[in-house]
Amino acid sequence: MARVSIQNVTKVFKDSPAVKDFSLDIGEGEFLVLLGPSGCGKSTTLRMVAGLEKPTSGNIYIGDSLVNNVHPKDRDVAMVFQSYALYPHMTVHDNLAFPLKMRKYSKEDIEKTVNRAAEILEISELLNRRPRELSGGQRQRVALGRAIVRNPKVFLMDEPLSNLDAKLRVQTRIELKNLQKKIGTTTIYVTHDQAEAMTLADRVAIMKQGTLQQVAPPTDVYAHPANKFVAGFIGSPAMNFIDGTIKTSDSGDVFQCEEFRFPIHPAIARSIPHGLSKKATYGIRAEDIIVDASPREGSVEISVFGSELMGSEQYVHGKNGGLTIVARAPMDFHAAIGFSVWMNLTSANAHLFDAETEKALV
Amino acid sequence: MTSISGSQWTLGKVVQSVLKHAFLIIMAVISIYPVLWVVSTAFTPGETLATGWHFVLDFLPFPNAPTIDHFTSVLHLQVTGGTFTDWLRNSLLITVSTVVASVALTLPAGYAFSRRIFPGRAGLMFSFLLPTMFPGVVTIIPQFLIFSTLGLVNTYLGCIIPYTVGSFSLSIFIMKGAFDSVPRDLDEAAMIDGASELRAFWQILVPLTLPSVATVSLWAFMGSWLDFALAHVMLQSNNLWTLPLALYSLITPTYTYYGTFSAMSLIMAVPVFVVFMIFQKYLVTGLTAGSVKG
Repeated sequence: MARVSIQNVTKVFKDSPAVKDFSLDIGEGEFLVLLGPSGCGKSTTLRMVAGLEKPTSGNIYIGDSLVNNVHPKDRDVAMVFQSYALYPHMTVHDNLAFPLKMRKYSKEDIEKTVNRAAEILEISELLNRRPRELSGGQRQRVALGRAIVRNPKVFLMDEPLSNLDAKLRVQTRIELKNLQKKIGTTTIYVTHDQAEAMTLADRVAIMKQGTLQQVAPPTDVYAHPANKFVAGFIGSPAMNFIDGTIKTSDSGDVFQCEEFRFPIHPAIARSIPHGLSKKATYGIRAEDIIVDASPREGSVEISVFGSELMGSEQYVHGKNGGLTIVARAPMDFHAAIGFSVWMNLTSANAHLFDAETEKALV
Repeated sequence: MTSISGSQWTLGKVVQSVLKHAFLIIMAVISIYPVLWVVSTAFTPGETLATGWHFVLDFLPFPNAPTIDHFTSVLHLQVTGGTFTDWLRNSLLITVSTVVASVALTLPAGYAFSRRIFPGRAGLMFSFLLPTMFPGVVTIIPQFLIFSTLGLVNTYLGCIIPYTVGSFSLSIFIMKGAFDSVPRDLDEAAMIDGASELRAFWQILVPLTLPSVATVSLWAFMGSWLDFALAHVMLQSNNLWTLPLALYSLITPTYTYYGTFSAMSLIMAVPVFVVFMIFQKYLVTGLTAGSVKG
């Protein structure tokens, strides 16, 4: 295992920048997830570490070696592709043996290593089959096997679970996390699935339009998003955003939007400079909103236009003027469409973002 | 009226069906007639052929007293210094060399057109397709002049080079399509697994494009094994002739050796038949490879 250092890397494709001045250090044995929407540059970043793309500027180090001009075969990295990229004309055994043959392992070592990897991934009985004779989950295991078989410095994974069905995906990501912990190899994992990122990562690096937005452990990213984009991207359902103005005064701090006003929790208000009146975006997650069937002090009236039953709980979708809000409520809460409920938006877990820069204010 | 597979037979449909089948039968007869004529003539005794012009109906389905004399004559054929063995050797040498050269050159060319982006790529691809827009004979005279200057007339290379180049237009197109149909993830995976670009090409891409390689080989094989026009211009010594030239020598201003001619045609057709049988299963996939991304 080795640390990976990406320093001020930019990648431009035909005048359009895919990655802009990206810097990130990944520690030895760390599981880092690059997370972001399609086209944010996460796969391009991974491919630059693999050597499949060359940075337009900036440097990439694996261990202490600068690898900008090093061929992929000489970087000692292993990659799992979204498509698995198994060699269709070879058996599972030969697929696993291929990286070892390329590195001129002896026949006995190849057999021993392939069998050990097959045992770890429980695919020993598949060794004589060809990829087309395997299920999606089995192919995925073989692809992982090909990556772990030669103990590389770094694992690179490009959305390796996205072709699996939902149930298998959940099961495999737990196995993958355990496997990485067992082997201890530095891993860079690309996904657009935030649940995958939250489950797997030691740290999550969130990207948007080629730039790094925040890098932090999953709980920090969730609890303390650096900006409005991260706050909206992490969490399901997405965080509610209300545009308005922060008004601080001796009589209490409130958030005033076009439709209504409500108190800001003292825990948040503490960090806002006193006497400030500032345009901002108030962010609050569905689970931090208290929903009532009758008016309470500080609550705002919301007209229900839908609800989603999720099992033990439900998400109530409501409206007030042009503003839509989603709140979590118990399964047995009666949210009839067209009727009003009252939502308390004052929470210590709420967030405030600058209206212009969209950066977190508290 | 009866109902077949749920559809009702009407007079119009019956007439249409009869006309369609009549047309197909006529086309089949037109296609099969020359083949039957050659087979029949090859086994008909010389004396029978010498008694007059019998047309195929006299010989069909097979001659009364079939003979293999014409085949024996072919094996002992000599035309001023050239023998059947010479012509067979020349044909095999030129054809095998053409097939090997064609595959060896179109594989990397197809790979480059598929995987590399370089200035003039589209123009170069078009330039390979350009010759297909002209009849092949048009290029024979300039080719003769060039090869004459290079001293390659009356040599094997005088045929091998133009045959190989002639096969490029379609072959490069087929190979590009074949490589296009192999996901790039596979070459990239191989490189990350420790293979050089050449190794990834050789060990991953080439085995996956074998049906197209078979098609390209067959195309080059047919182009050189059966060619008459270019060989007629380039190969002037009788001992350098290929089989089609020897075949042509059986038609003289005074007499046409129909029996020997037919027997030799059949001998020439055997390798074509065998190669077709071997590669048959690859042909359809090879020609359509790359048309649909799977």
